[in-house]
Amino acid sequence: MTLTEMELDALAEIFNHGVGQAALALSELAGEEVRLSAPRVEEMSRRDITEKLNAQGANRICAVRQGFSGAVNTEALLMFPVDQSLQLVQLMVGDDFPLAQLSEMEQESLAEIGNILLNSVVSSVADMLHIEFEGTLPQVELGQASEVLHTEANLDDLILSLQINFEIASRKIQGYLVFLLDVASSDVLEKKIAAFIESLQ
Amino acid sequence: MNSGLSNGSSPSTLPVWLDWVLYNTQSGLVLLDADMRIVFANKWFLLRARLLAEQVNGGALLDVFPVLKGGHFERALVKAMRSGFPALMSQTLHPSPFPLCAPAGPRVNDSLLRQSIHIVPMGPTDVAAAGQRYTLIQITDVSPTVARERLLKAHADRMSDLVHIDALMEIGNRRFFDESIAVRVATQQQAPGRRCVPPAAAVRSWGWSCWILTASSSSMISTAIPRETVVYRRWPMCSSRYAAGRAIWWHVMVAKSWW
Repeated sequence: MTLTEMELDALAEIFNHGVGQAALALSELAGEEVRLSAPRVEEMSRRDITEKLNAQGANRICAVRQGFSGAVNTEALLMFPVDQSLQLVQLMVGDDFPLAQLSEMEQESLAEIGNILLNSVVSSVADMLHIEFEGTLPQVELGQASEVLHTEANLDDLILSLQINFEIASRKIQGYLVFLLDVASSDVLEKKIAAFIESLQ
Repeated sequence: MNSGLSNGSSPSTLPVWLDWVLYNTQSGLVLLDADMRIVFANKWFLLRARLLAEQVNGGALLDVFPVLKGGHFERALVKAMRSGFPALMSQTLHPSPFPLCAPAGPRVNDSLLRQSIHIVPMGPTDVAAAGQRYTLIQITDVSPTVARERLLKAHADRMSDLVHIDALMEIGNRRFFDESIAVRVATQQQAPGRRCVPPAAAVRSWGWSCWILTASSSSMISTAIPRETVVYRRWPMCSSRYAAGRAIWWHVMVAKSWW
């Protein structure tokens, strides 16, 4: 799958709609304004995204994974460097005392935050591209980026990557939302995006 | 034994043991139809809600549990039923949405069970087969886990006090100051001028608090100290570390707090 600039822009528009919905839901949850922005969508290889996370000093990352199946099968992952995920949970929970690590309960909170974001973004894709999905419950994974992304599969496989910036109480947290797609799903998605652009023209 | 499942649409197609399994599952199961009416609730849930199957089956969820109206749970449920995607509600962010208590305990607010909730709506394939979207709500009692984590955190706090509080003076030691400065400088680089929180360990030990405040200008420090705090001594210093091209000011302050 190689998406044109216009197709990537259309996807960014769809994703941003979902991200906006998620920001509202997270603000209600946190009791204060949560700003979310997703500046751009990129097609990257698993190797590139792993290197990008490693460049942020993230030896270990924390990811919320959800599977979506239907005409398009994808695994959606929201990934943060571990220290950023700790800060995010701390800000959402409103705990003053710094967290040293994610306990079982805090992992569950992170799963809920990821669930809200992933469901909103995929709902937006489903509504606008007219694709029906079935979803799974979120799972939290901790480990090296390469392990979480199963890079042993193929380092050069293309994935859709979306940088997500959280802003809560003047604190900025950066994460990545990635969609792992198989070849057949990539083709279907490409056709759906083309149909979406055509419907706008 | 009648779980209420026999009121469902096609009981004759279900294996005999399925009713028994659902009835005896050790977490709460509630099945809703597309109109948010309760189709089935298992024994675990009914016992802890102190309700009978006859009182809940066929009733609208929000009428049976008015406490859920307008809250996060209702919003999450409506969204899940509309999108068809499962949702999770963690106990940290929503401790006890349902009014569930231990079967033998008192029914007061502070004895409500801590709940981890999964909302699982049927996907498109199952909806086509069932003729409507049913939604399963699964409630797990995580009260023992919460109690265990609270205990472990209390132990960790005590261990931290032992490492960070000087045994003779009973105020923060050198390690405490070094670590606090590192944390505060990192925080300040993200949000200059933000008010720092006094370390809990020092407040608990004495009623006195040790503050480390950082800002990109000295004048910001004065505005950051709350009025409820009486400053005992304050040592202003300028750090050689720079944030955004400016020196970082940090003050070590011993104060008495009213809170």
